[in-house]
Amino acid sequence: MQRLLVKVLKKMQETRYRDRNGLEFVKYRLRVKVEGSAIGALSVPKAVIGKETTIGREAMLPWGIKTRDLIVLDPVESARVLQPRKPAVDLGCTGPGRVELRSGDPDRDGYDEDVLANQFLAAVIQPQRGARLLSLKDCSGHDRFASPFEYIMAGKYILLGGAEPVLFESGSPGEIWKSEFDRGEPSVSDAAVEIDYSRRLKEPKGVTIRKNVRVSSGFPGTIEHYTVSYAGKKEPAEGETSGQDSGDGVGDGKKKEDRANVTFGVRMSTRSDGDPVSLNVFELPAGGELVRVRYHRPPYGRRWRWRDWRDEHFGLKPGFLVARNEGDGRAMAVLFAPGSGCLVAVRSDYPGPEVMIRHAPRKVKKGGRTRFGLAFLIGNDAVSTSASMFMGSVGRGGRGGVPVALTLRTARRVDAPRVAVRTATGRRSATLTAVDIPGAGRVHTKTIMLPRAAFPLDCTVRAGNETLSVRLEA
Amino acid sequence: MGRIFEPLTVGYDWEMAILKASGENVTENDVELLSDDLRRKLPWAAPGTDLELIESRIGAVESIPELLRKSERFERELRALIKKKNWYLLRSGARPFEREPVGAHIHVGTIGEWAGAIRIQNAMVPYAAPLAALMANSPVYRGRAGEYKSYRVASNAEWCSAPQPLLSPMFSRAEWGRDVDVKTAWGATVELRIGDGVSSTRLMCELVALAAGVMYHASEHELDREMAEEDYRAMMVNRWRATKYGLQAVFRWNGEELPVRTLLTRMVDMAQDGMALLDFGKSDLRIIRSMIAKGQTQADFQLAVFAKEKGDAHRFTRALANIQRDPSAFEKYLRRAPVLPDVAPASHEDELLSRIEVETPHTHLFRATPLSPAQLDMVLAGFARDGLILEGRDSRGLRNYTRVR
Repeated sequence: MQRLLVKVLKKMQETRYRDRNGLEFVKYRLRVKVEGSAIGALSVPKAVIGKETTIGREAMLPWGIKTRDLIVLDPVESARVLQPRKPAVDLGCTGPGRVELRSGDPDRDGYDEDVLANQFLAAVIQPQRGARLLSLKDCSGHDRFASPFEYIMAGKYILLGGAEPVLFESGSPGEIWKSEFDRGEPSVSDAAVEIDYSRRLKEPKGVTIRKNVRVSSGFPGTIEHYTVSYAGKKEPAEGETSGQDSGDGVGDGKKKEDRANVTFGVRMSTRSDGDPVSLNVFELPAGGELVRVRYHRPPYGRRWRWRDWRDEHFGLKPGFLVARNEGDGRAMAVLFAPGSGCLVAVRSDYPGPEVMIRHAPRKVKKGGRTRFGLAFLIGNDAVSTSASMFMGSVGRGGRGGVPVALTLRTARRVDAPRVAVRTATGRRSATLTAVDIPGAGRVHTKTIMLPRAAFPLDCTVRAGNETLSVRLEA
Repeated sequence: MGRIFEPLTVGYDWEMAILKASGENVTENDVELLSDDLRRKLPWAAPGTDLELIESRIGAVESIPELLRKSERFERELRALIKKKNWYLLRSGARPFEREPVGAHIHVGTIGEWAGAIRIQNAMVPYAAPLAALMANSPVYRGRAGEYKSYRVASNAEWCSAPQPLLSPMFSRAEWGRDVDVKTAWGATVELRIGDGVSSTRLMCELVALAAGVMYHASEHELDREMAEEDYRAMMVNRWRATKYGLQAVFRWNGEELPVRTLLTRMVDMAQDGMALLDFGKSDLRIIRSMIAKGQTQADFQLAVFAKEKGDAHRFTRALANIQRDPSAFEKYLRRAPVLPDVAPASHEDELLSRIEVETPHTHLFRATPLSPAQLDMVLAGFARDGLILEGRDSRGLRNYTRVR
């Protein structure tokens, strides 16, 4: 989303009229010139500055619009200036067994986004805004993320939505959320598509954050790997003090080790829709039990308050979080390293809920690096317990049938778990295969093809002494 | 017993937003520097910051003409300074897309006696709602519009102006953040906090005169008034109606439905003695009387502009700031604006019921109503009795409610 600030160059047409209340208005055709972004914190492409366009406006009299007045274009008007003729990029899933990388500007903000798609999902990555996972759509086009565009911290930070990486040492709100990441050369094969994004941060100095996003054929999710590296402090020039003494001002000769603290997290604006909206729940195993947080839309929009203890959940041993709609079953699971995530904060008092997964701080030596992993799985039904999560995902069908991915995440010891699938026409089974996601733990997964007539499906798996079942419609 | 206000003095702390060209608020640091400039030019004025808003504080005066004179001088200096910086003044009860509401708080003094001040606070319970209706000026708030003419009051100004309880003069203690607050623990005034930020200097001074006159009347004639539970409940529902309908509201008053415009006309009459002490007369309430005659509020002006900006909060903010370059824009609008009809009120209970979904926490309903917690409990018990909702408990034992569909 983009909003442009424009200056009125010329009034091309004026028509006066009275409305039914007797108030007098004037309709204009205005020639305007782009001055910049109307959102101070967010950039616009340089090429658009100074561009002229013609817009319509109305004003109540006697406060007619004057030449040189500044006015704001709404997102639709702005998009017409930013992307006047560019065709819309396809945000649909691929056919079975394929992966695709597409480039385009689905949000028409003037910057290209990357769309990584397979038969289960289309993921939009926004390099210009912190390489965030802006959108994660299933085959019916339903997005698991929201774009609230909610002003927070008086313009210093805007909740833009999707899933954005956060480095707490970068400051509050820091630079990552609105920063342009360099885009690496993508790798596309029959099996997977992946891209690297990176940015050297201004704060903390010497820290570079690199993100790799991967979508594989047959896997109903995106996998993100983050590498945070530290180049070290600049060596002092000859004659300068190193500033690396013990800090007592005396200079004891001991050199302090040059290292950076790295506290990595991800802030997500998950989608909450449907009627009633309180059918949207978050389920997360924390402290040995399954915590359920139900979303309740606040009466008058977001209320200002600090996150309080009721929002915070610790002891995240199994390393997953499920956002699910109890009405239609649609779900998203976020996987992170078991034992590495230290806090999940779920605030349900935003217009959309905000979820933060925060990892424990790490120290990175000069020249060193540390890695984090995340996976975002998309499903049509999911079930969770205090130790396990089982998800079923229905992909885009073709002549060979409809792909169905069955995925188990569990803290219990399992060996080649078998899923019993009861279809409309009979029974079958599938043995899940272990897949290790670096930095985000292990899942057991399998994609099977079924004819459309086989739906609905009841799929059941055992994990330890638990039985988990999901129901899937075509 | 002598007069409680001795002498009768007035003042305000009036918050205003200063916007950059884009329509976004300037920083807190910018406002600090602006306040510094203003204080250098006007040593008698005491403007300052409230977060990233500028707050005009003229000080205590004994005459409304003096308040008006000083306020106009302040406005001229403020406008001159921000024009140099290419900033814009936005005088509203809320910034349409940025957080935190914007209030215009009226102080009436001079008062030192705690018990007397608390009795005035109690006596003002019925009058806070009509004054909120008159001052409604926040119909677009955080991108939302259409439900309330004062989102600021509906949301209790983020708990900076919460519905006031009836207090015991002997057992009450200093608190902050009610529609009417007693400030004698750290000041010498009773403060009306319920009002939205005001868009016109003349109107602000008229509102100060009216509020002071009503408070003075209460101090002289209404300190011993008893209030029954059903009356208090009606006053709280009136507060909700004021936020929703502004001057088109119809209130419940002494067991009858009464247009708020009729009630305000009576309040103008009752305020005359106090206003006279402040060198101000009924005929001086030019803008207020015109608003009452037409049922028009500043919120209605904003909504007319908002409609032309296609309901886009950013476009609207920029357009409203352009209009407010004219210091008397609202007065001009009022001269042209049509008479608005009274609106038959919706049911507050129906609105509360509509907010109950699945396991809706009690605290969400508490935040959505000006009713006292005990009155809310009675409403919820009634819903449950009628089979409309089910009461449950969460893992910590807190109440929640689910609509039966």
